[in-house]
Amino acid sequence: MARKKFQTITEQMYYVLLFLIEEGCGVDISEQVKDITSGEVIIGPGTLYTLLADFEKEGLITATKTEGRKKSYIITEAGKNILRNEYERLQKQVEISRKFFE
Amino acid sequence: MSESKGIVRRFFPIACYEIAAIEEYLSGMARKGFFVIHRKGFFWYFKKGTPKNITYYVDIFDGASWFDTRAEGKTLDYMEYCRSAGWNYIFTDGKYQFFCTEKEEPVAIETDQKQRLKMINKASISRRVILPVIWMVYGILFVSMFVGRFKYNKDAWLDFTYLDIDVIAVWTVLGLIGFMTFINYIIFYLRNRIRLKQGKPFVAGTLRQVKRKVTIYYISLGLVLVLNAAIAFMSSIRFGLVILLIIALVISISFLVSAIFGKNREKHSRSYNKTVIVVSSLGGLAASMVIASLIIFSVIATSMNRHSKSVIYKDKDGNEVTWIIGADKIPFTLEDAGYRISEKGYRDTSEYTQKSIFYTDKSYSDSLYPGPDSDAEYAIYYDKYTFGNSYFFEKWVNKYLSDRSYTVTKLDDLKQQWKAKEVCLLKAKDVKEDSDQVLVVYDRKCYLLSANLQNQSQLRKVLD
Repeated sequence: MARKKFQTITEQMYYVLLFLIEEGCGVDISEQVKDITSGEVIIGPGTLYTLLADFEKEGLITATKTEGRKKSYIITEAGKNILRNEYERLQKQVEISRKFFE
Repeated sequence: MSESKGIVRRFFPIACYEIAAIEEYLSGMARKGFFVIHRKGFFWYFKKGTPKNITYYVDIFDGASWFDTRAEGKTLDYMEYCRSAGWNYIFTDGKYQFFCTEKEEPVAIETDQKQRLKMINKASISRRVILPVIWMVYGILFVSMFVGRFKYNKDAWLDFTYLDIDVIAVWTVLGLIGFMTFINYIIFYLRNRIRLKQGKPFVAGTLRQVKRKVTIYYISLGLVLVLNAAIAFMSSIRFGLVILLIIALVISISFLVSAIFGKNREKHSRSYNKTVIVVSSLGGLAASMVIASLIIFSVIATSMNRHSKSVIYKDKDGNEVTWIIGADKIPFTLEDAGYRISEKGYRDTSEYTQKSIFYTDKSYSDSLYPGPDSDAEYAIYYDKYTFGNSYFFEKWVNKYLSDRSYTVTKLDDLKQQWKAKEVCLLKAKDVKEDSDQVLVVYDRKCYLLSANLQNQSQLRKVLD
């Protein structure tokens, strides 16, 4: 089910899953993604909340702890598989593209 | 605009999906020094302050309920995400969350445009279809009512009263407004769906466009109300007053219920609001219907027996009995129909007037106290139609004479006796009960007598 729904993932989804390879607090992800991508990828708080809720529902991430209204998450094996597939797909694209650009 | 304790209230009717226009409106108000604090229906409440450049964001959170007047449950978690991104929460109105920030280029709360459109559609579609649905239900009811009239006669439109025209006018305008609103929304939704698929940004109407649209809607609604009131008064002043009274009553009860139960709703939970809204809406509706029914019945009661007087006499057992006697102002009585009135006279007489676009119809009824030689109770009901136009008068009379649902028999003896142009007995083909009518035609005036007698012999007795 999760695989089917997230067969192709958006850039925003990719970075959210990537940041949760290590346990992290949901509310901090937006800022981290913005910093690491030099402002190329921006995730609004509403979008982030919806993504995290969907990922948790589909078993791609799991909640680790809750402090007040702040919730921390970590990626699951299913989430890692989706992330790895997307990484490999992107890598293949880059390798093919390199032949044309170099 | 009204003001109290530094709070300014403004009426700004706007469809909930016109998010961009709402944000533009609120930012414009902030630049004038009015900062939104909450809204109730189409009323927006602002606090006065120093003018500032503020960006507003109207967000739809699916986890919230339509009954929310404050953030609770998942909404509080959601707000934490927004707060950490620099958005200050202002208030909740159902699924709509209002945020603001003084940041110059803030990150939008929803950066996934497809998700934003999906949420808008989810929150708006039910509201958009309500008016067309009411229109269709209303339409089915009155179309079935009108179609029956044309079953036997294509000229049934000649019987249309001002009230019928009113029903058609209100239905047409409501339909136009409902469908215009619905089509506007569908255009907005499909246009943005296509744009997002093409990778183009989401677009919504500007404040100027929305204001223009809102003005058109309200002019149309105002015209409906004026037309409605005018037609109701043309039909009958008494009837018009009743309609206006009922409208005023329903509005007053709604305001009263809203004032009693809506006070400090922000302090209460979702379940409290849900219960209060459902109970107060049903209660308000029931109270309006009961009071409206009482008004209608009291008006009907006072319109009866207006030309009658009562007498008290003693019956054979010595009991005092009150009878309504007298029909001095009634133009066509049982006596005119050839019946000998007993010494106790008429038992009951009533009169009712209604106006059509073609004629004035006065309905009378006389009920006769049984004479000493009979135990039958006689009554006669009739309508007097007065036409201003001879063309429509002829057409209207011919409509009855050519009506396939009646067998028409000319009564020449009565025609001479009553000095009429025509007297015909109309016998209904499909109705088993005695429902015969007599059409008495004069110049641009005619009577339609329904001799509500218990059998044919009684009818003959009255008419012979």
